[in-house]
Amino acid sequence: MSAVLKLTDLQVHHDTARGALRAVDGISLEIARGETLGLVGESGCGKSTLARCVTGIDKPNGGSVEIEGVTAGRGKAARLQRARNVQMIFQDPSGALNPRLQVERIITEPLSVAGEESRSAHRTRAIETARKVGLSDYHLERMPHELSGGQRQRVSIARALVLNPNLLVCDEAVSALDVSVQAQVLNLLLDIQKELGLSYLFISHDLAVVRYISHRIAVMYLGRIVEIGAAEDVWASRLHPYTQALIHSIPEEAAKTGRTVTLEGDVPSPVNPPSGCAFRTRCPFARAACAEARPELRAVGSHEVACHFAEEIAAGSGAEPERAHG
Amino acid sequence: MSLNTGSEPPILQIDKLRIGQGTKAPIVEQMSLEVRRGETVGLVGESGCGKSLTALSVMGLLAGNLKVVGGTIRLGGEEIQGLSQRKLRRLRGEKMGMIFQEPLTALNPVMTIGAQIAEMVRAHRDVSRKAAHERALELLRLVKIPDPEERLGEYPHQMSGGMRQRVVIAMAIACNPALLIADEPTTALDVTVQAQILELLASLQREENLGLLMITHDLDVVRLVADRIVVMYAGSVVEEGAVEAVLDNPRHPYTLGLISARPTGSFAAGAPRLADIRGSVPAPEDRPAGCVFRDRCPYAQEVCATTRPMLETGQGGHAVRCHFPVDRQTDAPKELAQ
Repeated sequence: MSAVLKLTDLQVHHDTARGALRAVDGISLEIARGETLGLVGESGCGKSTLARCVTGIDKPNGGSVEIEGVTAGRGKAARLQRARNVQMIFQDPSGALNPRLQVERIITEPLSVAGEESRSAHRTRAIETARKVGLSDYHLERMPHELSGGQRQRVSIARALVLNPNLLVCDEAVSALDVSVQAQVLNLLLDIQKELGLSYLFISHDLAVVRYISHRIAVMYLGRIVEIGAAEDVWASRLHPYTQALIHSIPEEAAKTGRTVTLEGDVPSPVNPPSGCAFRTRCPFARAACAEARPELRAVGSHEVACHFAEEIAAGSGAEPERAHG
Repeated sequence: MSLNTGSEPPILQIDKLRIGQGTKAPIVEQMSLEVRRGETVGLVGESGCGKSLTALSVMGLLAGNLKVVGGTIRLGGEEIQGLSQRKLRRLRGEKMGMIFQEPLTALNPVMTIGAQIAEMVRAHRDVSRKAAHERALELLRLVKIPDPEERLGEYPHQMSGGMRQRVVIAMAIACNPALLIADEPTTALDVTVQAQILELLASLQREENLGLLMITHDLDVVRLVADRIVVMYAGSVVEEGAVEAVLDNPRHPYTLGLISARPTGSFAAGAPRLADIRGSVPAPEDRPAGCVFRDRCPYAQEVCATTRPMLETGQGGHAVRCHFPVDRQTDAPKELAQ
């Protein structure tokens, strides 16, 4: 079956006073029907910019976005077509909902924008969609401030579902929620995926959440994918030193190994990224070769990784060199 | 664990604290907590449970019409309520320091890092500008900021989130407090930076023999850094004890729920559905009578609706506020999902 989403060499550059900032620097990926692709990386790695390109909020400078086999174009008709196929859920449900509108209006607004059906049909669609996300008629008559955080996120999800899209972009969709409510929303996302055959582009800084919900995981660093593959493959046989560091930094993993700090320093500025491999300035394995040539994504073992020395790192059974730190 | 306690009173001792808001229902009640020198206590709970308010009341920083309306707060044995603003200001900084979640809002955007730290030092110590500046430099070294001399002249916006949080930590420990309160200090940070800050806090706590009260919603952070854990729900403590005892064998259904709700493994590769806790945390005025957790609890029985359970201390100081404490050996955590 064809991919719901196909990105080819996507580029997003912003002009800044200090030069061009390559927020997304040549990303190609596909998401199949019914599949969840998890996208992880630290703040500033470009994952939200990527999401905004997929939904059409940001315009790429190069490369293409194909949705359901059709290259996303400009103009009103193309925008509406994209909106029918792709919808987005944001991190903060309070900020994403109009505080002056009743929940029913919030959920049905996409129908009005898309010029669909009559007012009376909207009510039926609202009730139908609200049920899918575990809200009742009672909630439809409420204002956003009368709802809890979890209920508000359900409203965001209902609004995203009302046009029957094929792809939901979830940008930190559960990050602002308390753990008990987060579990409710994750279960809901799994349920509606099964029921409706939806695909998700699921972005989060929380690796445990991404591992749980994703079929495949892509790890981003400074605008590029450094590792991509089946979720359990990437998790269990992580090859890129950045992926290894990310996973080892999770408190749960650190509690197991007894080592916390795995990576010194911060993500370098994307305006002036290091030459060659962008990760080399923080990489415990970096050598002279890393400064010269940029590693491209290539198949190593069961998945793809962008590292010159992935085989060596794999042969070292994933063991990292001991790093001295104070 | 705290071995050096002897007869010394806990550095922080909160007893039956009650925080009210005007005439409304109290937000925090029956809240008791102790932190000893050289000990890290993890205070966990979901938003709205009162953990941050508890910390703010210790600092004397409750805002608006929030007020301590009952109970005691002792710092090194001394009751701090009723102290004049002046005395309280001396205590803040000298005996206790606080680190907030968002370092950017905790720093003054128009002052250099050096000036801010020096100001803090001079507010509490009668030292020259030069000595304060030197202390600032020493503190930046202590919190492991690279190139500290240069950094002293920088403004907060020139630093990364992790570096800013290090500056906030430097200010909090500037006057060698005995107690450090950290309110979600790593929540706004990336995971690799979070690891660095947690390690820094742990090493400072050891080296300076601090009492550290770490407020967080993340149980894994608690497991990593804390000696004891205190779990709050809807304004009071529902469970507390040694970290391993509580996290490996939770007795309160809420604690068990929090642990079970965290995703582990991959759903696509066969991990089970998450055990969520039904409903959400009630607002203070909507808290049910009897046990405040009962309408979300899978084990609730009649008595839970009528009688509020007491916090009962069992083996090894493991305390739980529940009429029917869970025993993980016999109850399957799955039941919570139903």
